[in-house]
Amino acid sequence: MTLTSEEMIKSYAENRRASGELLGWTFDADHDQATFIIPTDVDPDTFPKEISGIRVILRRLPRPLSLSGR
Amino acid sequence: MPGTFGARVLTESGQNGILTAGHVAPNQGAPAYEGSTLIGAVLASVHRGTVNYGLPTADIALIELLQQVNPCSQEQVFPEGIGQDGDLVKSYGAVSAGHASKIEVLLPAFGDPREETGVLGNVMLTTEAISTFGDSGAIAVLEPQAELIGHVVAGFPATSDFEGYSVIQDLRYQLSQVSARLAG
Repeated sequence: MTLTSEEMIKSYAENRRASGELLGWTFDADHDQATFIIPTDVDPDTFPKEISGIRVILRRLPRPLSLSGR
Repeated sequence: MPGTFGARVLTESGQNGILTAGHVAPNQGAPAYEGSTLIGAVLASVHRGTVNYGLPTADIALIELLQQVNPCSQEQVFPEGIGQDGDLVKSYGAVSAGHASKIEVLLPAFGDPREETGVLGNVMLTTEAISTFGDSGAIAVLEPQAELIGHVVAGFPATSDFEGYSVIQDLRYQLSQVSARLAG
């Protein structure tokens, strides 16, 4: 069985998420690119620039907080 | 838990209701207050704590209002809209209101995987924070269309060296999870 590019991205993303290193991701088939939202405490150099021919764009953000009152 | 009241809605049975973030009003049947005034009870609530680890969920609570109660949190009624990348959006929180930012990205799921909960489904991240602590549940409105696209459910407030970001959850997704429809 051959995985599609989107399935490859999904598989990679789910593994990194399971390791606590990915907050979210999206795949843009029209532009052959995926965007990974990674926490600022994770080293971006541990992510590839491309997966199965799909360009990987990284966006670093602090882990989200609840915005209820404190 | 302190938060912000969001959109005015009608419940499935046609009663007046109001929305807020699910994590603000997490317990079904619990009384809901505006300040010290009892305004109703939580009819339904879904949030990250109500689903298994890693699963996407809405973060929304439906409060059925007592008769004669008219919370003043949302004086203007907005039609329903859909947010897209690049759209300008404003939120109207109890603590900070009227700040605008562009939508940077739409995500099918978003959350901190270190937390042993579900994650937020169908969200939009803004390029800058338009909300802060106490604003959970605030409405998010497209500008200049004046269309309601969702509610603030999380984020990271701005600091002196970071513009922050807000997490807005899609209105249609939220309404579907609590069987409510916009009032007006």
